[in-house]
Amino acid sequence: MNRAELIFPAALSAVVALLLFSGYFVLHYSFKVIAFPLLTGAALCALCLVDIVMTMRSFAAQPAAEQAQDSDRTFSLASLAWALSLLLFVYAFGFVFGPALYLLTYLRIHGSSWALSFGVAGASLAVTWGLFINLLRILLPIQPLWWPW
Amino acid sequence: MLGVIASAGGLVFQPAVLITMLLALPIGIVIGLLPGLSGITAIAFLIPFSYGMEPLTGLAFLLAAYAAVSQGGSITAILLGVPGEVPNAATVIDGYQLTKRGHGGAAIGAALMASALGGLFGCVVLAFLLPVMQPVILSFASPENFFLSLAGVSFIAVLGATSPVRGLVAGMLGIFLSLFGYDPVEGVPRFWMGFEYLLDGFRLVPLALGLFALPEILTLMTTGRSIAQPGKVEPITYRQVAEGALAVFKHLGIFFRSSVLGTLIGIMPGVGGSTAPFVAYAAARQTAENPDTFGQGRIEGVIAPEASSNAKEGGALVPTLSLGIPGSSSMALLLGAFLIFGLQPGPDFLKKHMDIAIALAWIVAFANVASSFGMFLLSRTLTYVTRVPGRVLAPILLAIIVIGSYSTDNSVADVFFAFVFGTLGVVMERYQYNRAALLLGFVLGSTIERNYHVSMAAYGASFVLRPVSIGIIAIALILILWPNRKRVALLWRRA
Repeated sequence: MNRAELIFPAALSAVVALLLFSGYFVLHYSFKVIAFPLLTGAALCALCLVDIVMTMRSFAAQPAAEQAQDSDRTFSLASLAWALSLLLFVYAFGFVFGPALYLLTYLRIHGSSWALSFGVAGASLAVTWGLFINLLRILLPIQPLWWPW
Repeated sequence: MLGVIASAGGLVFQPAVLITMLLALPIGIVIGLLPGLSGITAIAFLIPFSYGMEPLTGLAFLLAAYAAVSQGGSITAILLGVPGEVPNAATVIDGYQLTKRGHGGAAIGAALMASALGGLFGCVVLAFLLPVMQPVILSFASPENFFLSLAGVSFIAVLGATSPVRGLVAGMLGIFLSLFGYDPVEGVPRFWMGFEYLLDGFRLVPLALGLFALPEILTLMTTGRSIAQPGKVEPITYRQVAEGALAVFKHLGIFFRSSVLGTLIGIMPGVGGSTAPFVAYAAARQTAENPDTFGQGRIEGVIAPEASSNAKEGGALVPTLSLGIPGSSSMALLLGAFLIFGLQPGPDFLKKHMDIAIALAWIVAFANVASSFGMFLLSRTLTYVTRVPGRVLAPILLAIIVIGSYSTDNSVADVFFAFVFGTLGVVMERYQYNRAALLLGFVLGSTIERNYHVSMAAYGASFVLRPVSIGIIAIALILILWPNRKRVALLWRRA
């Protein structure tokens, strides 16, 4: 348990309440339009409240050492940055060359051999260009996404 | 009846139909292996190639590929934690854990056998139910579909999570996320915040890929280790896969219950085939001796969703063929293919073309068994993927996900939202919110809302009092409360 886990249900109910409030009072959705979201949103907020109360009760019941315990998952900020950087590669070089260049860069920087890095990048080109564009006829943008035409 | 079944078998095993099916199977398997591409993609992609074919040959071509997609999707779900299509997300829960513990081969064997037999089960039911199902299907109106869908979300939310409340939060969040975009009653766009993409609401594929795949990829990137933990990696042999396949026969109760659930859910028009694997998983967990060990790598957690997932295909064909009402979105597209071939499914179709209807059941059965056999042969090679170091595998998977997200709808925004939902998946995974419940809530949200509006318009608030509705509510409550009966009794006494 960790006190940070109170943030998720609290933020969730706040966002849902804000959306419902703005829908009814600012955007003036009719009752028919907002009725079902209102039902769902109210139930969601109520459940979040129950979740918060139950979590807080469990804090009281648990020793501090256990409270500090987190999930066994480990995510580093570096890995998150690397994952997001693929979006930059795609934006800069398009959906065919972007992933290939990303793979080449990532693998080389993380200690893979040139042969493996080039092999994987080449396979990526074969899949995007050969399988998706030529065989499946899925129109992946070849040009960079910032390209004006 | 047996004469019709035999003559339909004769139609299917003509050389032209057989060769067409064998051509379609590898295409279906490849599409299934690619995250983001689903059975509906397979049908959409192959329809243009089926022009000019004889009706049965063309339908065999489409159905065989469609049936094979699920097999490919379950392999990626087990080995990589990446569901090939949405129903495979239920297989990820235990299948991927088995792989991490070095039992990927057994999980694959169980999945393939359960899929093949589940598919056969659905087809047998289809063949026998087609002539008699019409009155039963018609007894399910909007109120019943509303409660059935809601019960589906509640099952997986309550039974599939460590904390039932967190499961329900996730399920309700899934329903709420499905409400973005045009409202089905007045056509008013809701909660779109000036962002054009949201006019049509959030999309399913980025949601599924983000929720399930991205947290795994981030873990692989961070640790750099292979999926199967070092020291726990067993050499994958056909024997290991065969042992996994035999596990289905050790859990025949789970297999049959899941297949029946899958077929029944597939039969209900509009409920959506994605529900079946989740409900079957929840039912398997509920009836198991140690339900808490589900999610940590139980073979039953693979058998249940896979059996129901393929059994539902036979079930979904029942309303498609007998009423002309598609049992799922893929069946809706298949309905279009029927029209292209000059066939009009519905009660008259069964009178005129019962042989073709039964032949379609044969085709799905054959495709299930043949694609399972094909995947069995490939399994040993595919399992080597789990030994690839995370620092090599993670960026490759990430690239596949980006391309898969984009290619579903040719939309860059889908890629962006895959990452947004990936972040949500990381948070939910960390604090043990049930991601499967969110996904199912999202899948069924529009169905629930539509049936709610129709029910309110037709019956008013009293729609909850219809006998079949009360029956569904009662069964759902019993199934949900039974595993928690001691806790409920304690609360009752305190009150």
